[in-house]
Amino acid sequence: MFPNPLPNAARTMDSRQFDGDDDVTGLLEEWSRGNDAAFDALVSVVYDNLCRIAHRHLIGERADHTLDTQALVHESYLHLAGKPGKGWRNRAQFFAVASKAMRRLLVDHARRRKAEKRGGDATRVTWSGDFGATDADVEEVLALDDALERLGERDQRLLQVVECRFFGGMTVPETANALDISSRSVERDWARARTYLYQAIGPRKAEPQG
Amino acid sequence: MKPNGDDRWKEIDEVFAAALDRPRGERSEFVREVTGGDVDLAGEVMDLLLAHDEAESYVEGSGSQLIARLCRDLSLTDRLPSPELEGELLGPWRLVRRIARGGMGSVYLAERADSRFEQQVAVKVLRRGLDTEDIVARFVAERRILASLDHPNIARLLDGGETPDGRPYLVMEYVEGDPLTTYADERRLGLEDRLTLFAAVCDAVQHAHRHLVIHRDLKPSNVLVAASGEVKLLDFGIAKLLDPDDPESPAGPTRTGVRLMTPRYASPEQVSGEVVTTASDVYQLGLLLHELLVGRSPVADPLSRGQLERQIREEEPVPPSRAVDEETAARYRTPLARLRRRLQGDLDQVVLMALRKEPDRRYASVEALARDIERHQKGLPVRAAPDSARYRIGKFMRRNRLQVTATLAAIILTTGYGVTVTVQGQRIATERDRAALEAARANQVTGFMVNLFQGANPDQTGGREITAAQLLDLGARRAGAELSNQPEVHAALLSAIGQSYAALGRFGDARPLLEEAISTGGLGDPTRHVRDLAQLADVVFKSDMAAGLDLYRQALQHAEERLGSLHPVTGRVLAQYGEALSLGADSVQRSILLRDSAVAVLRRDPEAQEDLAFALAVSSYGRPTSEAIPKMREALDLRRRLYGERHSAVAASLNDLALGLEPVDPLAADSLMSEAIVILKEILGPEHASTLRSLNSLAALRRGRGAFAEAEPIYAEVIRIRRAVYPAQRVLLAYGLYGMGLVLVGLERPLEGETHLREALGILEEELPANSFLLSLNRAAIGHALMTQGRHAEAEAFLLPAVTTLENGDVQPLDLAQNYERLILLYEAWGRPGRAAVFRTRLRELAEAKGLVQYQNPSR
Repeated sequence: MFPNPLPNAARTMDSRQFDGDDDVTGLLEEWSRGNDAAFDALVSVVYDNLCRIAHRHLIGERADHTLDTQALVHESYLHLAGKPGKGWRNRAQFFAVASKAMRRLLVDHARRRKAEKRGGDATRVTWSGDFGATDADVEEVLALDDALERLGERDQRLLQVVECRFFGGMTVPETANALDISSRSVERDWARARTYLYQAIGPRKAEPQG
Repeated sequence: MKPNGDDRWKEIDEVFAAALDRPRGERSEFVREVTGGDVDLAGEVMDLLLAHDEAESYVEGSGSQLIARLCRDLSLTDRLPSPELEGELLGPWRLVRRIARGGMGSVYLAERADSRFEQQVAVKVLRRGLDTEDIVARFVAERRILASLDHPNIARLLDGGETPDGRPYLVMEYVEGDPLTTYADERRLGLEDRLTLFAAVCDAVQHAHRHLVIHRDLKPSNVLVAASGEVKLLDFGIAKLLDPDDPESPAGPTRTGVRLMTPRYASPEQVSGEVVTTASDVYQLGLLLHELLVGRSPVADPLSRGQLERQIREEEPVPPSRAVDEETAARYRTPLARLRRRLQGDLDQVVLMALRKEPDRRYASVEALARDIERHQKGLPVRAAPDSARYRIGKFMRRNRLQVTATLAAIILTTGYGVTVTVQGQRIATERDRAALEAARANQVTGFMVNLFQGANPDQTGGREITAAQLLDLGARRAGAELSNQPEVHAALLSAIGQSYAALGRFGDARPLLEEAISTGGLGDPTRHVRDLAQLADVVFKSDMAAGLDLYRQALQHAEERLGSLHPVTGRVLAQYGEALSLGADSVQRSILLRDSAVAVLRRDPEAQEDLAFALAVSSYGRPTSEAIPKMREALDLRRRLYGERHSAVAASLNDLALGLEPVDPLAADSLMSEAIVILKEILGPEHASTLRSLNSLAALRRGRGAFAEAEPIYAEVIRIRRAVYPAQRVLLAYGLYGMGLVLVGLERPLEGETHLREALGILEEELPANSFLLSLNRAAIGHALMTQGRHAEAEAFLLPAVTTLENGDVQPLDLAQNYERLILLYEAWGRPGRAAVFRTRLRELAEAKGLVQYQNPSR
């Protein structure tokens, strides 16, 4: 449904192959030298980590199927990056990666719920975070993901800004820091990206032709 | 996202991004400009801008939570102050409660935590998420500036520091008080007390200037008065140090200052982004004084940012004595007339001098302004002087190279320089000489007329009655033959017959006679010559506006040169010329100036009551109802006294008054207009241009209040006569078609309506300049007709660009409101509630700003 840049192995729930500290440090170096594939690989590391935590949260502790994205990212951060000597430049850098992973997680979660189709609320995805709980229709989440994918094809940076702000819950200065652009640019990109997404999935998406 | 090639998308995105960088009010205009003729591109970007606004105003809970979350301005969550600072300690200060929340941060009431002595202070904390470098720098600058100032009328800086999360804060003297103007009005202060308060403000600003600080944001809410009557100047947030070493100080305009200023209180140089000096504070003090004296700002509520800026840069403020009204007087507890007298002269001059557009022509310093206030209070004459006539003439000449001489008359009268005695003296002398000549000539004309009437004797006409018109035709034919040896009498007669033809609406017959009369150069009767020129201008103007205006210009020039600026005939020409100019889109200001001077000239002459009535009538055009109606009533009363009830001039006044009353009392307007039409049909005939005009107006009145069925036959009559009798006056025909089109739409015959509207548009596009707002109104109406046929996309293509143009032009708020309403209806019918919401917001804002009561009902 959307292009998946990751090797399949990286997406298995129990994969541990990138969990090693050396891998992360090496990938971070690669990334800082401009290797985009390294970024993707980092995302998959964080994604795996997030999935494991989420799995535990959803199966073990929470009955309401609500993903607490903030808690997930925070826990993942402590696990992967919070300790000294892990090579992450700062929290924002980690969050940029985690935001992308979080988007993937939410979308996969939505897909699974759609496939399960159990019970009345199975077609909804709920997650909470900095901005309170969001209860979204599964189809909507998938439509947003689609729109994001197309946006990313046109302008990679708009996509990154949305991921950081929307999925990662990062503030403007944090996003600016992570993407190495000015706060003003983040604000402008956000306004544009939001407009495009709104146009794509907003209330008027099904426009009757006059 | 619509399916577009990526290159196309990039193009759209680029324009969209650039548009977002413009102030909201300028965006659509900007898009129009940069996209040139690429309507598709403009449309795509306009869609994006609408989606942007819509997303911004997306109401949570109204639909999808996902979209709500997407639309919520996430940056807002960055900006929330750290959970709550209330109760927190900053240094020795405990924050008690938040008292204000502004653009840059919050202000808290605080007190000393050690409470060894009771001291209340205000603590200003920068907003979280705003701690970008330039804003922090500005905050620090405010601190530096306040630290350098020590004056009893300036709120003092006591302390400062950084919050635990690194945001800077200021601790200032806590002032409990009311804004200057509120304080004065609530206590019903008299003029003296107000001036004393103002003097204290001047003193504080002077102090700042002596310490090289310009405040740049003086306005009532920044000047508080404590219960004790003590004045405190606040908020040096955008103040600027006049530091000679400051790189931005000498040449570079401070763009930050421009962006942060309060638009309504901005000085002309702030608006234009020019260098801001202490003169800017002088200007803002002028505004403050004006508002303190009058009760409201001389800067009217604008429709758009562009309009506001134009107003600030170009429009001369009304002097306080003319701006005050009963409401103001009540706040002073002084009779209005007495208040006016007190303000007239000195205080008017002081305010106007402070408010001059050019910084170097204001008071040279706040001190000079304060001294004048003091002189006035001591009963000494002020130093402020009105603009010299020489300056104003020069300025006017620069602005309009045309009819400068006419303005001379206006200037002499409006600035109260009095009468040029010589002009009058000359007039009396020539008048005397002329009397003898005229007597002789009158005898000759009488003789001719006697002949003419003998020619109309039933014995000679075979018993048929002869009409006045036929008599004129007869006269026109015979005049050439019988009076060729008496050129002066001949010219007088040509003139008289030409004028009569014009009065009968037979313009084609009038024109050659008037031209012939004019070709004699007046022959010793300059008054008649000028009248003929003006009459010819009037006749020509009806079919060729530009040529008509040119003739008016000549008429005015002759009047000025040969009769003098204060001659009543000159006044008459001024009024006619002003009336003609009032129909042009860009000459309204000039037109009002001419018409006002006409009234002034004609009031001086008790013999000129007819012309005065005319001047009063035309001087009401294009003015707000409250100003226009008294003029119209005066004109109507004058005319009824002069002519009785059955006269075309009375009908004209009834017509005008009906139009003026329409917004206030539509049914009274209808009956006045009907009354006018009865008179006009009887006196001028059913096909006369004036009759048609009033018929068209009656139809429009009825259309306006929704009485479509009653309007339709009248429009039909108007259109039929216009097509048959006045095919050359295409614009007037278009007005009729436009009205008929809307009526048909109202009668649920939209297809017929559309046909009429499209014909009107075709004519207007050929006849009017491309930027005329009438074109936009017409296009919007077509959009409306399309909407009622369910052709939504086509309707939008007409309505949306028209509304954008209207938003950016000088247009009646009611017209704009009506078209907002049409857009809302369109989007609702189309199933696009988001877009409807965008325009509902704009409509509400417009209605509130302009007091359009009929649109303020929130359910609409």
